[in-house]
Amino acid sequence: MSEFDTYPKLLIRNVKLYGDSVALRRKNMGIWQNYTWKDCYEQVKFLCLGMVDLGLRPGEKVALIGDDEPEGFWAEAAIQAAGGVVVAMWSDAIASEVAYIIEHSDSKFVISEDQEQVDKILEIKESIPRVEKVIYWDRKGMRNYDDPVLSSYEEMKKIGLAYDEKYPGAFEALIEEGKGSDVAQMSYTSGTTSLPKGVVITHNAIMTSSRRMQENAPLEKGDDVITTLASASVFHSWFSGYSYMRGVVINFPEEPETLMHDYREISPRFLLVTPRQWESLSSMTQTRINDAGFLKQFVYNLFLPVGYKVTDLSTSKKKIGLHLKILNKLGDILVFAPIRDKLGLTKTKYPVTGSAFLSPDFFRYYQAIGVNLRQIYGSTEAGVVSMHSGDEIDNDSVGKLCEGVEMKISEDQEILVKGESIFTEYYKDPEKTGQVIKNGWFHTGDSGYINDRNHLFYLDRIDNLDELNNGHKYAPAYIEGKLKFSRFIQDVMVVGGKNRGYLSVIVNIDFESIGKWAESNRLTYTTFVDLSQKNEVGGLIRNDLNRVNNTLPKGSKVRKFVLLHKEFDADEGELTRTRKLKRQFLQVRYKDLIDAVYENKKEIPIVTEVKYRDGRKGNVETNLKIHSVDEDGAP
Amino acid sequence: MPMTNGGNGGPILRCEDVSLKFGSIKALSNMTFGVNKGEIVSIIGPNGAGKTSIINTITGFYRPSGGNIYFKDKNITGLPPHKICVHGIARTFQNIELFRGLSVLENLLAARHIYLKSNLLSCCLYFGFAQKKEIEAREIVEDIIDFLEMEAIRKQEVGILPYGQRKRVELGRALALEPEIIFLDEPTAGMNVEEKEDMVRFILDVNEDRGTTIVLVEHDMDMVMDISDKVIVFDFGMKIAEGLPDEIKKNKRVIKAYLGEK
Repeated sequence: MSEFDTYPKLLIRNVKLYGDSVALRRKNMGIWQNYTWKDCYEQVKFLCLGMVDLGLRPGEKVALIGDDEPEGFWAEAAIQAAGGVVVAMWSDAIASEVAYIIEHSDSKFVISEDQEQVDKILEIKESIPRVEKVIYWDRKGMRNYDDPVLSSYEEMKKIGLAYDEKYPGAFEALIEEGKGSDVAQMSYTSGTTSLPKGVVITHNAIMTSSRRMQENAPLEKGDDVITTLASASVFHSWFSGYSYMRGVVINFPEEPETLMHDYREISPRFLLVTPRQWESLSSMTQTRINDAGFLKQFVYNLFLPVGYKVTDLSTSKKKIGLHLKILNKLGDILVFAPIRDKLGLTKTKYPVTGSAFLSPDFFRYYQAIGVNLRQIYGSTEAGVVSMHSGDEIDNDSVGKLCEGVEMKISEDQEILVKGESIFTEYYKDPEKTGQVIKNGWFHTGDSGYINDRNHLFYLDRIDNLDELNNGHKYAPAYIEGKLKFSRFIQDVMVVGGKNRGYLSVIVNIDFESIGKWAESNRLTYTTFVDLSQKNEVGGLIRNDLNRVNNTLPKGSKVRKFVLLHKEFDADEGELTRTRKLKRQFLQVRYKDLIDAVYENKKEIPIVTEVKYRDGRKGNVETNLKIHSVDEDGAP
Repeated sequence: MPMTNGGNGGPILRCEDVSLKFGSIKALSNMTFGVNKGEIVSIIGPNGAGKTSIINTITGFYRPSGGNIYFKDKNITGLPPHKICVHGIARTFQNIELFRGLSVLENLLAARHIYLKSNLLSCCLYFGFAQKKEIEAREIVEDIIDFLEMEAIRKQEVGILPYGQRKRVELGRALALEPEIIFLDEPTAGMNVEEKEDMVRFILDVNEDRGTTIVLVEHDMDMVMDISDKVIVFDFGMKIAEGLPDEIKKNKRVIKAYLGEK
């Protein structure tokens, strides 16, 4: 690969190798339109030379803002071919943010999509005096714009064409000058707490990450993928590698609103979308099923449990009986395959998720309908770090460490990464750079651990961790999330902290599903309080805790638990309105209970004040049992 | 800033002494006004002033009981609607009149019928002339779909679309006729702010990009005053004022018609 160490170099190679093959496809006027490698080459070449003629020199920055369209793809290559640096911006960024990024990055040109973006740029024109040219590619509504700073794509290409006639071979020569160690791109991290930081990334870093992705999810020339409209994310640049390095066809949807429909028409071989999108896809399916006719609902409800059963058996590596196999196959034909078709996943070999936590419920659901979701872990700064490959999928991990990544877990359980894929620096901010890159190790700010099969497990941001008195750090939200996956647990709070030696949990049972379970097991009960204190129910929750404990590092295992006599209630201030735990408040409110747990008591009488909806207050008195996860009772 | 074409293309439409009677009720009496090419003209007035009646009269839904209507110096008085539209006059309706069971695409294609000249034989054979015409029609319609940002609803049945989108489809259908002048009867009635903004943007774009002359009946005064080159005020079937938005705002008779006398 060393010969082709930038995307533009690969572009030249691809034109020679497969000039007339399709490189990109875009839906326009309701029809998928093809662009060959030759088309791409010409687009990139003349835009590049146009900018060179207007004074773009190696190392200079060009800001790019717009939805993901072929023109944006070509613009990236054109900027890099000239030796320039792409400053990627989100199309929905607000004007002040755009102004900051353009100014901070010293951008010389801005390439923007359409009227909407141009309006944004013109609005902030005063604060970006160093911008010499604003280039737009969608002419719609641009007729009456006469600001001399504006140029259309077509005008730029005309300038480029003239430049090429004057200096033939200039384009190839420029690309030849580029090196893999040059800066290719700057991505601005979203600054929720501070100003955005410009992450400087080289060609080498991008291509290394892209290669890692391809090793774990190999695609062939001519396979179809679809862009997911994340134009400014660094993932977008890794994704481009499929095109440049392997000749995979990138498809561009017509509009963000037609995305679902276009997915279905293309059915990409590789699909990476955020957990949020996977969630909405699944809830969309649910809604559609609920609206469907009786027969469809009946068949769906008949076969989904079969899918779940097969999934559960295969995750726990148990044997699947023949009749179940046959039923599952039938379910696949009648239900699962049509659903996959509706979701555009028929041909998808690599459905991928990453960048945030996706509840195991969804993994299980997708697996049941025959979609084996896999995870990728990486970031703008670190590049691709780990990913599931082939059949080596473990729903709990965020993938297997990629080849060539050096990683260690610091004493604080922080994930540290070294290797070609990490970023160079934060632009004009050596102080912040020094804080996160020490001796070549990038400090991700994430905490996690690695198991013996080299799978990486992500816990939480390091700031969200708590510590036990022995110095062991644990991730309360992570453990709670895993426990909540059980259908018997409605809500749960992990208790520990610096004064205590081990973890325990306070559990809200799920009254409905435990109630049903009790009925089918002939267990009589009267109220929520009564049910929650049954020994059988304790045993049920103990099973869940044992299951989760098996996946946790040694120091983070939960040793004791209490089944609360009531549910956490937002009306009583125990939860926020979005049903998040108010930890501080709960710690104080249940102090006696928590103290009793760590004093090794077996039971504690508890009186809680209950606020009724009409404003009256009352008291509930109960004896709460304190259970040990270990059945012998040892803490 | 978007701006209108301004209407410096000379007169395109002229109404001279147009009157309309229903029995003994005079809906319109001696209406005289002109519209210049490329203008955006708004017709305003209280309920029952005759705003919709004048549109219906010009587009051939009613036959005037007196007077003449000229479009590009041709007398079109009393022509039936299907002949009027061939001249390059399109309209939308106050209460959406679309084919509810057809898709957006089909509704727009239906409007192209005036340009589809294939005879029965060539239609049956399809390939050749008829196919060429069909492809041409689809291209023009797709262009409108792109223009009005309707890609996502292209294949949806019109009946299930929300109100604001149906209004947009209606505008699209009017555009599919490739008219020189469009009459919009309350294009933003019943819309929320966002839908209104979209619609105004489309109206301006149609006027600016396609050079289409636009006459609209509208109750939203802010919108009328913002986008019109000229405003015509009706009251009790008579024209009581005509002029630039700023002039109309100050006109005593207009204020009286709207606010009543002291």
